[in-house]
Amino acid sequence: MKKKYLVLLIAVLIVTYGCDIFNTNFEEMEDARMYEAKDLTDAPIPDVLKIMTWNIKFGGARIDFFFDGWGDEVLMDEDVVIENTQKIAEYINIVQPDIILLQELDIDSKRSAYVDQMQFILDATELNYGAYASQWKADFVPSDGLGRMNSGNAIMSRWEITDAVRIALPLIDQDGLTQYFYLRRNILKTKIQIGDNELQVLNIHAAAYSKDGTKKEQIDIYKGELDDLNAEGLIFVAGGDFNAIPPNSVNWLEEGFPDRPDDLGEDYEVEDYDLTDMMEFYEDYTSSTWYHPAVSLGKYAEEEVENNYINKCYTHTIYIDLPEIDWNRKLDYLFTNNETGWIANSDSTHQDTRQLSDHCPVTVELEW
Amino acid sequence: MKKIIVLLIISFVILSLSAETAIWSKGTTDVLPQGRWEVGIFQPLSYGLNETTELSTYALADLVMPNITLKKFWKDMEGWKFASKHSLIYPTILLNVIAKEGALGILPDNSVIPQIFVLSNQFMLSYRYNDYLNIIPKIGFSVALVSGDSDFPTIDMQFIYNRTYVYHEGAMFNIGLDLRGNITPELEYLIDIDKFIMDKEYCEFSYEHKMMIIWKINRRFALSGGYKLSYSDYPSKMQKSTNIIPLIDLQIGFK
Repeated sequence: MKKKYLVLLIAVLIVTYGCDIFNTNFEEMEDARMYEAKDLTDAPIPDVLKIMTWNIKFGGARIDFFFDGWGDEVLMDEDVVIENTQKIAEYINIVQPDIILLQELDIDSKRSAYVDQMQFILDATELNYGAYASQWKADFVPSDGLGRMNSGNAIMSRWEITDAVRIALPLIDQDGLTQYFYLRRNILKTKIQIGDNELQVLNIHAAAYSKDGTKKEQIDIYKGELDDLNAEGLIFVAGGDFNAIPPNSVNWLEEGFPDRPDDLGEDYEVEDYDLTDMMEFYEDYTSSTWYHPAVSLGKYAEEEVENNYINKCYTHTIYIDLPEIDWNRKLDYLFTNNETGWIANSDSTHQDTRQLSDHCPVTVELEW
Repeated sequence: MKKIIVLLIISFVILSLSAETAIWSKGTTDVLPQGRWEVGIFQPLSYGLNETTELSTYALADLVMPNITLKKFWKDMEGWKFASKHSLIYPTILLNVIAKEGALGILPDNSVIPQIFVLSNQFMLSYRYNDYLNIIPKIGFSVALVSGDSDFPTIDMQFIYNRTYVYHEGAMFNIGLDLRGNITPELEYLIDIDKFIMDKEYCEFSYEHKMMIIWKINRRFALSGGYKLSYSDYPSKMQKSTNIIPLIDLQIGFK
């Protein structure tokens, strides 16, 4: 009789936990998806590396999507996706980064007409190699008309990516069904061979709508990965969309941001930004390991004025339908543990990209 | 034109002179005996209207997707039996129900759903080789009559995409072949393959295959189990083209 119950229990467990019929799950660590441009471009070994990070909002530009909290758009037509992604590629071609960290890039999503933006951007720029890690994957999301989804983080490079893994991050606290179909944040960790030397490049897109401290936990795990590399004596560049503001921000209460729509849905409320989220990355706040930021806190503070919301270092604004509102918070960062840091004053926050995404790119240069 | 209509009527009357009924006869050219009801968990509620005609409907679905199917046995022609099925389906209510925000929003909330009436016609021949083998070739077509503005996406899920694509394209053809027969007097097998012929821009092919064992326990109960396999193109080039699902059903019959 006990054996019968054991079999029944195992069957229930298999049905409950073993069935991933919509293919939404990931291993704790797994290989990233590798890409290569259709036509490879010559990539001589440089003296200076230009690094970029950019959340490209899956080529959605400034369309008001329902998941922004106020819009009603769900799916884009293919020509719209291609036009928007082409503009992103054109901007990349103007800036000419050597390595780029992208967030919210779709490779196989109904919402972006199944355009593989990874391959599209590689083919439309001088970047040759790519690694991709899904952040939101499901054969079918039975909610809001989303349908099939595969969106995530990417790292693209002129030089070959010799290793790339996806490291799973903790999930935010939700009911089981919602969590099953929800975003699964991750760290994309790669090695890029540039001449005789190897560079570690890491990308993160931390939780946006976390109210349970998961975002901080994710950022701390990311920092831990960097500390491990640093302890091994490996040189890295790391960045991404941390969904966190700098620790010396003056304007930081969520309700205070001028682009917050009155009718913002409850599901899109974020926890108030916490000034401690990013502290451990900065020399100014930690006595242990810190890293060189692309944009120093000093430079950030120079323009930070309470209730002004104008700062040349801001990288994000959620709402575009108000002409008087510009970028109003910084969420996107780049760091390195290179001994001499970044090349002085080589950083740039590209605020002229307001129509391309709800984030603007940040670039910085590293002596190589 | 009148001559054609008269000839068709005469043909139907002549063909209707014969009858072939059987219980647990879903998917065959036979119809239910007059007055018999059958229903399954995943099978429609069917009723033997007379010795040549069977009516069926997916009763639970009727609330949001009214549907009715008439199956007609026409003629036994030297061992070849001929039957046809004609279905009328009105999916508009269901499509409006699933076009919503939040959970179970299969379609976007801003979808524009037109009035859609789908007329599906299936024609079947059946040849009894022996007790163990019946060969049933099928051919059919579906036509969607669409009225009003239409702006809603395809549903890119296995087993659903090919069945709902007609709402967008207006017509779809299908061909298939069933093999079925007795293993024992109580046990029957069914092996089938179907091809859906759809729009070539996205979906050059869609095949489905099913294998089932049907246990005819008695006149009141039948239990069936097996699998269904689909092999199909989808709008996404990365979407896995092969899918398999288990099939299990309990059918109940009355009279």
